[in-house]
Amino acid sequence: MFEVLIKDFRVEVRRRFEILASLSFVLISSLLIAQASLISKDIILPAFFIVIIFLAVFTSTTSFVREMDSKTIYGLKLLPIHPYKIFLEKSLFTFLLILFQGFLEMFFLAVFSSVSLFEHIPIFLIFSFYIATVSSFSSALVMYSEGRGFLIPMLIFVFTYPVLAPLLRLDTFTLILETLSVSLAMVSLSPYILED
Amino acid sequence: MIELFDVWKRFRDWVLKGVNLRIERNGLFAIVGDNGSGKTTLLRIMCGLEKPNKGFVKILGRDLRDCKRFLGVLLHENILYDELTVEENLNFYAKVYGCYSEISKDVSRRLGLDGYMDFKVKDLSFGWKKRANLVRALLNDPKIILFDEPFSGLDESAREDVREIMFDLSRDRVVVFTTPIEPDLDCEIFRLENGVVYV
Repeated sequence: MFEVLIKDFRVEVRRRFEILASLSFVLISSLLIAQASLISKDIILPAFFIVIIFLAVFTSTTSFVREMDSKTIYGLKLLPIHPYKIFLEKSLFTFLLILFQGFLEMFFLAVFSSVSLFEHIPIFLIFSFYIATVSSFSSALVMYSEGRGFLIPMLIFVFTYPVLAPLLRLDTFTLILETLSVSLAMVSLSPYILED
Repeated sequence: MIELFDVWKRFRDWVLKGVNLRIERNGLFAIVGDNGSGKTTLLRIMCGLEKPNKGFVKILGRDLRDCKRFLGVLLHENILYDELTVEENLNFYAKVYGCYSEISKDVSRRLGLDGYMDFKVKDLSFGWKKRANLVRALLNDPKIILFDEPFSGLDESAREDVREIMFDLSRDRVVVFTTPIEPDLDCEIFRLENGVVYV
C-alpha cells in the first residue's frame, strides 16, 4: 500500500536543492504578497491562490516528468500494478507537497502581513486537491513531449480556469463539484496515457 | 509461452514488418541483429513497453497486461532511482511485487552486489548499475526473463558471471536476450533482419 508514494517522498527528501528552491519560492512570494498588501489587503487571498498554482507547476516536474527524465517510468510500467494506482499515488504525493508548501505560505503571510488565511483552510484543501490532480495529469500527459517545459504551465493554467470563479467567490460547494468531476475524468483517462 | 503474431512497428520507417515468433519451452533464446535492426523494439513489445502498430503478443497464453507478474525485464537503461540506495530500490520493487525472491538474492551474491547495497545508485558505475538492474529483474522470480543486451558495459569477469547466471536461469525458465553479435552461448538464435525474424 502506498509504495510509490513512500518512494516518491524518499526521493524528494534526498533532493535538497529542490527543497531549498521551493522553500525559497514560498518565502519570497509571501514577502512580495505582504509588501503588496500594504496597498490593499484584498489582494492577499487571490495572490495566495496564484502562488498555489505556481507551486503546482513546479511540483509537476517531480511527478511523471521526473520519472521519464530518469527512465524510471519504465520500471513503474513493468510493475504489476494498475495505472490508476500509480496515478492516484502520484496525485496524492503532489497534493501533500502542495499542502505542505501552502501551509508554510499561509504561516509566512500571517507573520509578514498580519493577515490570517487559516479561516480559508477548507477551500485551500479542496483547491490543493484539484490542482494536484491537474498537475499530475498534465505531467503524465506531456512526459513524452520535448516541449513539456512550455506545455505543463499552459495546461495547468487552462485546467485551472474552470474553478477560478468559484474559488474567488469562495463558493465551496461548486468548487467541490467541479473538483470531483474533473478529478474523476482525469483519473479515468490516466490509464490511457500511462499505458501508451 | 511467448507468442508474437504478425507484429508491425513503425517509428519513422517500419522497424518490424510482420514478426511471427513462438517460444514454447524453457531455455535460452537470443535475438541477434545489427544496430537499429529492431531488437530492442521487439523486446520492449514483448514486455509491453511499446505497443505494436499491428499484431499482438501473448505471454503464457494470456494478454500481456495480465502477466506482468511473471515477467522479469532488464532494459538497456538504468531504471533504478539515482537518489536511493541499491537496497532501498530493491526493497521498493520487492514490496510492490510482494516478494523478494531467493533467486535474486543468489544472483546478487554471485555478482558481488551485496557489498554495494548501501551505495546510492547515482554513485555506481554503469557496470554496477547494470548488475543492480539485473537483480531487480529477478525479484519476482519470473517465469519469463527478457534481457536487452545484458553483456554491454560489463567487464569480462562480469560477462562470464552473467553468462553462467543466464544459463542457470534458463533451466526452468524462458530467457530471451538481445545481442548485436553472435553469442558464444548454447542457445537458440532468432535473427532479426529487415524487420523480419528468421529462426
